[in-house]
Amino acid sequence: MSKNTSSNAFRRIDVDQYDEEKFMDDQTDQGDTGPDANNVNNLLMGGKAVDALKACLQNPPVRTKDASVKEKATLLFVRVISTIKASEISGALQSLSVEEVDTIMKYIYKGFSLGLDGQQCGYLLSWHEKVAAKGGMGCIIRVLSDRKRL
Amino acid sequence: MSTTLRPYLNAVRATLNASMCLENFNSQVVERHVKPEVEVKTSKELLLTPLVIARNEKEKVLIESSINSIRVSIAVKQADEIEQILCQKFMRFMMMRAENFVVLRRKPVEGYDISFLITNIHTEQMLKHKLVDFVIHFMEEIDKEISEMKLSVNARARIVAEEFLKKF
Amino acid sequence: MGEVFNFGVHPISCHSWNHDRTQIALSPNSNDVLIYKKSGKKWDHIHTLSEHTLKVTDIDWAPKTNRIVTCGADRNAYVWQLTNGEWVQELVILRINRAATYVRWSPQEDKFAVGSSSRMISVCYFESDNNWWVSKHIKKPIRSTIVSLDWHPNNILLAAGCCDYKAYVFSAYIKEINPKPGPTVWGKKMTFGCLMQEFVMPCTGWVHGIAFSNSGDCLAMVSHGSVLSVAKGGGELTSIRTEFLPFNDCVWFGENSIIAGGHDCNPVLFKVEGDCSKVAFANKLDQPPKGGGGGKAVSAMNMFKMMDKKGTVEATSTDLTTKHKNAIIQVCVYGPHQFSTCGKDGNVVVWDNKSLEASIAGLRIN
Repeated sequence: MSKNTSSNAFRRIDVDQYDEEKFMDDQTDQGDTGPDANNVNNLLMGGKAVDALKACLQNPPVRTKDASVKEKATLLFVRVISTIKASEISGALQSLSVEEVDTIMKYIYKGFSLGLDGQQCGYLLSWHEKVAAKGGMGCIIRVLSDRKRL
Repeated sequence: MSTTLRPYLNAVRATLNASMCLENFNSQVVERHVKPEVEVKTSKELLLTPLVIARNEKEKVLIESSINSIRVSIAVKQADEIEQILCQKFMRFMMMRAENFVVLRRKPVEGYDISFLITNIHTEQMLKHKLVDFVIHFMEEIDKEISEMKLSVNARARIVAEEFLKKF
Repeated sequence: MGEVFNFGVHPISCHSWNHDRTQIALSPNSNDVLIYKKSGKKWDHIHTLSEHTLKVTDIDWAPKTNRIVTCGADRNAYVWQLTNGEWVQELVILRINRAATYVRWSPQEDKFAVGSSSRMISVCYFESDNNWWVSKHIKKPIRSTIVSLDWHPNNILLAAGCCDYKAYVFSAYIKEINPKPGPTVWGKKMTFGCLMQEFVMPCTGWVHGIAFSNSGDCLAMVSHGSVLSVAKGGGELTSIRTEFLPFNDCVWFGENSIIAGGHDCNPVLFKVEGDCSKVAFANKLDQPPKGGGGGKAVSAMNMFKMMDKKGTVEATSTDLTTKHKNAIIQVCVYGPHQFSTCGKDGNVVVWDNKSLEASIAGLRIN
């Protein structure tokens, strides 16, 4: 019996990757840079925490593949929410649109995944409660289903 | 630290409620089969964003969802070495008897202590809000049980040491 | 308001009514299709159609020609005809290599469309020379499983909701049996398989339910991101991000009202205005009747019942107050002012719009 293929490596090829009809994530790296950090910092220094929150929610870096940009934006967000007092959270959320509430939820979940310490997680948890009360279950569902992830 | 327990469990409850919207889905890859998509991960469009809810660096819950199944992994608080050993033994005990739990996974996901796999079959046979209640109750009870076991281990150790040292 | 019919403990994966709503064909999440006949307030089981070797995924009963088409996870579909009091199946050559997921008769019942996990739609029509149903495939540019379908009233256009986060409108014109169609808002060129329009869902969710309005000019889509989207042919998508759990199915009433049901176990009404340029949430339709209640005697009895059953004194508030105790899977039009829902709890509930309008203030379904 002639053995013309001595290698069995062909058995380990993932054939499905060559399937042309399979779903492709058609997301190219669009170089999102995230919110304007200087603007947000200035507003925080000036004591305008709610405006800083709004500025922080502009341009979420969802379309970029760069993890450091996303991490930076999330840490900025955590800084902003830690300056807003617990009693002012509902007031701050009142003025936001549905898309902005969804963006806040995305940032909150991204913040959880960064492995922050107990105090910062505490802020995130109290914000999660208030945002979920405003946006309902739909807000959390959209973080799950949206492929434009942080 | 206990001031964050209620918000933590509420956040996990809300996220579980949202992620447990499952439906029957036949495999696109293998004919006549139904596979839990969150385990096989062959089709990227059927998987949802994995979410983490963390109480601090050590305690967190990872929820990975898909169209017909959801995987919930819990990292339990382990403050010292004895709690680590107790936790590991206790989880191993439960995971070996995974069939009786129905929704438990035999091996935890990497980086976590215990995992559940809930499929659309479970949500059809059981009520979804009861499944969520079960997972939350489980999380509450685990901490209590490990603390109790640690106390009883320490008490026994003290008695044993006293008896032993009476000889001297 | 809503009449609840219970068909056992198993989820009802699909249901379909006959032309005068005296019979219902449903599948209790198994390989069989059961047909029940209404007798008074109860339902008698009269037929069982068992030919599928795996779960039945969808059923459709054609009202005029009285034929039932069923499709299953075993990659087959069958058309059933009532002959001599028995349902006899006819072979359908689908040529798919994965499970079938959804099936719908066209408005004139001369063909039907089957969505499948093999990333294509099979449009089947009857070939009398060989006495079987043959199919034509629509493949491009579908990239994932088709989970919902709906026919346009002109019998030619077909809308499909897919797991690749898109909703498509195709032409399913079969030149052997259909006359040439006139132009619609969706386009003029209608060769078979021609893509008229495609919509990408906001928040990229799987499109669980899709429905043409009664005129066919507007299309409603419900997707997994808890988003309801509507679009007019040739126009842009307008959507509303809701705060509810995702919906599984939707139906139109008139040109302005959409009723959707899903994982919240509660059908919800949405209003569409200005030619599909605005969508707004109107009401939840399953509201428990408000009122003084039965008085103290009832609550005392309740308390002892609770103590006996669950060992607690307070009534647990985690039990659902809606008619459906588990998710709603399908919403069907039952009559000009009625719709029916079937759910994972084994219940089929028939809702009457007129009595809903009477019991909920400010509700108008038109």
